[in-house]
Amino acid sequence: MKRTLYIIIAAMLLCLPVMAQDARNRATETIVQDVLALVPIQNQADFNNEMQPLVSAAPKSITMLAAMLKPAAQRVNAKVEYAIHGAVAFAGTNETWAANVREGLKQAIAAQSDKDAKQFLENELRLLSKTEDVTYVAHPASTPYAQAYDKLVSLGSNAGPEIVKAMKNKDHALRMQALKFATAKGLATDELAASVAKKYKSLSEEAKCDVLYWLGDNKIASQKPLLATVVAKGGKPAKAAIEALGKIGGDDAQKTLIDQLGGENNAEAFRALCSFPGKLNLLEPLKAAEGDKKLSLLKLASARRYTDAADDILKLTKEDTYSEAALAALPGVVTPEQTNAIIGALTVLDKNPKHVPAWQKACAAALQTLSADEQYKKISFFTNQPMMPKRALLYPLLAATGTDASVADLEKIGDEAAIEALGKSTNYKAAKPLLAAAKAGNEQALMSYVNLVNSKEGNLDSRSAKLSEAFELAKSVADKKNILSKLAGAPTRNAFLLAGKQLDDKELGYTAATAQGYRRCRRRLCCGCTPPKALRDDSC
Amino acid sequence: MNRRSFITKGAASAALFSILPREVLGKMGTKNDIIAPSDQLTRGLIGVGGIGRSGSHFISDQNCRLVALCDVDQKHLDSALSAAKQKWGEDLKSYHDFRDLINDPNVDIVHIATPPHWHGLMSVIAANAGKDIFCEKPMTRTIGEGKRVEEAVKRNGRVFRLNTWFRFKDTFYGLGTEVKPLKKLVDSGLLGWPLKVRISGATGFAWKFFWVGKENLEVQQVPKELDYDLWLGPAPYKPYNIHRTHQTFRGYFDYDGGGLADMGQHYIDPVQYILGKDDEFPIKVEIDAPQQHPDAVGIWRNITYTYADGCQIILEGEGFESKGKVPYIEGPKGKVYKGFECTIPNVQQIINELPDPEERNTDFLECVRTRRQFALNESNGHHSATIVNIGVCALRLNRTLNFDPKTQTFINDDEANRLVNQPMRGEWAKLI
Repeated sequence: MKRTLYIIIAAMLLCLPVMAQDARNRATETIVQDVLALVPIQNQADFNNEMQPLVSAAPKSITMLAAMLKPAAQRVNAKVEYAIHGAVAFAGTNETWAANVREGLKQAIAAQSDKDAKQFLENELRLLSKTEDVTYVAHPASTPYAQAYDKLVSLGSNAGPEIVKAMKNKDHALRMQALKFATAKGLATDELAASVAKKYKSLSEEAKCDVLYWLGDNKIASQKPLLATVVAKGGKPAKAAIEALGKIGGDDAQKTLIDQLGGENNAEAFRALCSFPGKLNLLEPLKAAEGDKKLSLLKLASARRYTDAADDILKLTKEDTYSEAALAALPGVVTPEQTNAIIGALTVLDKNPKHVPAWQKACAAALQTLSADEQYKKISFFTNQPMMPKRALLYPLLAATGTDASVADLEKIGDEAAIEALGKSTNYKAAKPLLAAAKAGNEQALMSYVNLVNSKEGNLDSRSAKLSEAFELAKSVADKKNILSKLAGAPTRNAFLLAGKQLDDKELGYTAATAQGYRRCRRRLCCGCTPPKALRDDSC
Repeated sequence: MNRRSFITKGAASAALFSILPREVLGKMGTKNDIIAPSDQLTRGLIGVGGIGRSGSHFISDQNCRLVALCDVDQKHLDSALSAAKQKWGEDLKSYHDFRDLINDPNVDIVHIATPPHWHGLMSVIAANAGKDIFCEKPMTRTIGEGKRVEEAVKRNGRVFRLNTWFRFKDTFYGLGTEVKPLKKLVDSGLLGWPLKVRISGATGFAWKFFWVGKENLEVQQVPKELDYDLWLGPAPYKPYNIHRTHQTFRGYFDYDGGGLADMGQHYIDPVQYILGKDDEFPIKVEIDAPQQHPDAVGIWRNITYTYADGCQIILEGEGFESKGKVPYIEGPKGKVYKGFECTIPNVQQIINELPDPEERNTDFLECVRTRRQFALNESNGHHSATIVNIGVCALRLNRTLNFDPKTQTFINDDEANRLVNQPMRGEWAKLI
């Protein structure tokens, strides 16, 4: 009995280490299997929760995973790759984990015979490697540019004289390299600029331009006198100096630039003044100027929204020499204060019908800062006057207010001009009178209706129904094609059936077919799948 | 013989130019200026399978003639050569290895239209070879490559242009406005400071989540016409699958970074400009995303960049946009929405009264001639590419990262710094 008992106890003791070993293996195996079941993990919190035990069980967890890698042709490695990469990414935040995962990868690489799997593991190991694998080769200076650059770098903050010297170089690229170096390294100071300016007279024309552009790019205000002198002399350097002054700014620079308008350097000066820093003073120059200079100043006033000049420019619309230019400039300068004067000119004073669009544009610009209701109030004051001459010219402006009242007014007027104006309204209430006009045979009103419905009707079924109705009203092939294309954006059964009926039509068939093709494509992404799933899964 | 064939006849034409008056050749170039062949710039195009064949790039005119093409896919190359013959009646030089194109003495400008894993390397090699560079976005795939490009361009006195342009022209995607009025508004201070900019479907920007990679790719035979080894170049070797190449390369971290890297510079560079941060980097990037596969790019929900002064750029993934009316720019004193709708009264009038933003050099050919820096160059381009790239690093590691703008490395994160400079395969590492 005693002997049997001893044998049993001895057997149990012998089994203990094995049982203990089994417990450890199962634990790691369980961890690995759990991760494999979950990857790819969808959020960071879960990712961290799952990766921590995995990396804590490294290196064994890693070698276990790596052993599951198969040759690429078997196409089964994705989950293992997710798991290993996840462990590597997570382990990077902790030295101990990183060391253990690294060890696991090294063991796995040693044991791996498949070359693609081996490379994958090596790529992962690299992310946790302790020494930098990649060294960048420093090339010896082999070209004149590289040699010059290396010299500048070696001189560092003392590179000033070398930069000045470079301005004498015949090679444009070498000069620019030196100047760009000065800018990049913060050496573009008044001091360096003064040294360069001393040599200016002796430089080639091309080198002069390089220097002048550089002065502007670095806004070296101390050299404005030089720049002004260069502008006065004219030629290619003057254009560079103008650009520079435009960047540096200041009243003196502004005067120099304004003086250049209307002349040989008009384009450069205009550009510089458009971006000139600070407020421009254009009133006096505009009054005093004549000819091309005045024309440029008008354009500039408009570009810079120089509202101070609005009244003066309005007066100029009456002078034959400048009327066109002044009209073109008006939208840029007018405010609500000029509204009445503009309407007066549009409807009474200016007899030239070619000027109508320009006056309408100016009126719209004058009103643009007001609310829609305020705009409507101003315009309707005139359009509601029965004796108002040429009030039809104001209808587009009324419609542009987009108010319900403007739609109601134009619907009430109901003539051709009013319907045409309604066609430009962005208020969906305009759809009703437009449809009525379309049913009475007005094709233009029909297409305005179509555009309005297409942009404003949010309900797909309703949009589809309305466009289908419009399709039946359309007479021309071009209009029908237009509507068919818009129906593609309203993917309903109704639209599909309508397009289907046109497939055999010689003129409409192709448009109908391509519109439906687009609809199918969109539906592929609208079936509830995300685009990636749709792309990966051909059954979607 | 017509004028065009006159010009393209090589040496015979060159001799004739010396005896025939310019007027005999007729008006050439833009603005009716006559441009002699010696004044013409020339361009070599690397990558003619995708963007390189687009209408805006597959062009040749008297201001800049396309003279050479390069592609590692023979079908693409043959197709492009044939198209060039049809369009311009010219037999362009063709190259298999981009290094030969770069070393062609007849090429002034190297146009890089390859997948992004090549952009940095090719730009450095081109700069070292004394060529000016026109590079498609993203400027580089890694932060380290961006630094190298910046150094090489400056060191060799080259002109570099990054091909995204919304900071100086065109309606800015679904925002419905150009960048200029936004810049003027921000510079005016009316919105206050710091500012938050939200780049999201809600504000008019699509992050193109269709550029995702596929897992468990089938191993396929490399097509005869493709030099896969050279296509990969510096990227790690992985078995061929068509989805890794030609357009869909965008879905793999080895070559690009999904929609984030593909569209990031288009969307983020103008924001960097608007905020006046061409010389700054964010100091933190936070990420909310599902775990990423090590190879195939997946989707993400939110990426937030924070600058030292508190300004933020917030990216919202497709399907994860903020609801309701969402401002594009938000400041303590005002907000701007799509269509330039603004909470500040009379904002349009105020903006109109402000000066235009400072003039910039937006004519690349003019910059090549005058050697001036282009408006979007190796420096500010590297800055906006880095914003994208630190986002990609955070995405790959699935955690918040802190960035040191001075050293352009991550703070206390060796693992993230392994993504700043990534190894290049074989001999390529020696070239950058």
